[in-house]
Amino acid sequence: MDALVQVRNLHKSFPIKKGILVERTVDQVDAVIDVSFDIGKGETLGLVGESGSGKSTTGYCILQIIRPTSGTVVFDGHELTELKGEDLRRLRRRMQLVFQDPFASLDPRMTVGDIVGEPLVVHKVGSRQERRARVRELLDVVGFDPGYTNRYPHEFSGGQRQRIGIARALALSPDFIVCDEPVSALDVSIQAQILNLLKDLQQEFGLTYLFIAHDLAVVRAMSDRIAVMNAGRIVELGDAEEVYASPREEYTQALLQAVPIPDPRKMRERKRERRRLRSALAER
Amino acid sequence: MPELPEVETVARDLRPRLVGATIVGARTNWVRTLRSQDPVGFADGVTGRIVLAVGRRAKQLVVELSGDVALTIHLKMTGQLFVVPAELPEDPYVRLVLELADGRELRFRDIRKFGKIGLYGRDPVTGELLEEVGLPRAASRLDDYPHRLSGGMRQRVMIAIAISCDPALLIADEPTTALDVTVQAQVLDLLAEMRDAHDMAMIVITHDMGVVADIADEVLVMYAGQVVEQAPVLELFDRPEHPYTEALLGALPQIEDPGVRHRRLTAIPGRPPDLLDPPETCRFAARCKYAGGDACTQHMPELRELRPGHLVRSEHPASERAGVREKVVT
Repeated sequence: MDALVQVRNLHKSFPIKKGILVERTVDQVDAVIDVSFDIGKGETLGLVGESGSGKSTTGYCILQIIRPTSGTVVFDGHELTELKGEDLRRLRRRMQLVFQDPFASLDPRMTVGDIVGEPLVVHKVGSRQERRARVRELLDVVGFDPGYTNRYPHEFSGGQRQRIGIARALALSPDFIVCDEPVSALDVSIQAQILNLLKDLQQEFGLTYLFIAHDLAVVRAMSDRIAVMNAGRIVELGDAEEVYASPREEYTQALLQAVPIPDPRKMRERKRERRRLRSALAER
Repeated sequence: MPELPEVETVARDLRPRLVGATIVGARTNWVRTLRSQDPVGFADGVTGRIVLAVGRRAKQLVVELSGDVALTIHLKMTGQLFVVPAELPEDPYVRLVLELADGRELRFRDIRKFGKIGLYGRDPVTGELLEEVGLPRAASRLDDYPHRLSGGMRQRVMIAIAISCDPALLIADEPTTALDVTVQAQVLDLLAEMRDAHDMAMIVITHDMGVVADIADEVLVMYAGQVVEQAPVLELFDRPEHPYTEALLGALPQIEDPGVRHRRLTAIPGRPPDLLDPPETCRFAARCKYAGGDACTQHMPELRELRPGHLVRSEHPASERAGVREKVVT
């Protein structure tokens, strides 16, 4: 499979600054350390980890929303880390982001139609009529009633709002979408609808996803391959089925073990085991 | 803001044997909208309504949440009820915001007066409490602001505040939703431990069936403001009866599910009904695979006992479904 995205030795550190008038850097936090992976065309790479593990920062560094400290990101043959201005903008059309929080990521003062059409305006695509038609088409694709283009986002539920966010991401017909926790803010009865939508869109448009989430069950449902991050590093990377069936790293095993499953008998067994381990530790 | 319709009494007959019940609710503000129809008199002359009556150490625990009076008085009188919200707000005052029906807020610092001790008292008991909930270096944490604690530690502090009032009932509203899975197990263990050590009853409100399986003895499944199913935990998972419960169990992506990548997930179509104008018929009918032009689209089904201890509100529970055709819901 051809790699659409190639990430090599990605590193991002944030400085910790002190001082009121004259700031000086006293230390740094390494959020992403030596991360390398490929994402094939039409593939979904799932990126899992606990909060603070650097998974979102990795996603932002790929899109150059945050500039990496070092390392390279190659998108369809173009090295992104050194691109600026118009050159980067042209490539950005092909890479989009779906945000976690459908309540914070939509401007409350813009109508649904304006939100979805904004990328088209920014990139000067089509005439006004063409844009309007395209917005309706996009909303239709994501299962949102195109009759509501003049409404405002607050009138809709979380699931509907996430559909708006997805329609916006699709506006410029991208090849690659970074989904940053796209369902973690949604009601459980709605989550499956949005996950199915993302799967359908991938099929229909041959999209490539970087799917970032902390919920391991959700990531499993979406991903071909999985990268597990811990403290800024990728600790395990492999075929999704393999990682879930026989995780190699202790960290991955612990992470998988901790996911509560809807089976009271198994959960009781686990609880007994945890209790036994704790008392064994206490005696020592 | 328009008033939400009454949510029915969910737990009138929670029996003394109840240790932890878990409520799976649709996104209804459960605490604020719980209300029952029948007014009753309190011992101290206040008239209120029973929403929860739990026998245990407290002979009867009565909570009124439709007006602020009884709740305030109740906390003042005995400190018997405590609510643990999903996450402690990142506020330097360790503020527990309990929104009362009239929009006022009850803050932690007020509650401090009602309970035996407060977090800000420098008394040794506070340190002990924090130690009991497993906060590392507890004694030195008393002067720390919450933003310096991790999510899991904040939730531990929250639990310490809750048990400081020595409650007979602890309501934990999505106690682990904001936490990483590895921390989630620890917090659930802590809650169960505190429940046993302090002889409390506990209501855990959650959307996560895994959490239900972990901590509950008895489960109430709520949909659009109503209890649609109630059963002991093993019974519920072994033999779910209500179409909503079944759909909920089916719609969750499972961690142990090979091949799920290449399948569509079983989604529950549609959305919950508008609670400002709920249907007079079965509230789940519009999303239900089995609802047709029969009884459940004519009137509201009663919550009835299918088996001892297993209650369901549906005309089409799984065990009575022979012969009912599935309909395609879009």
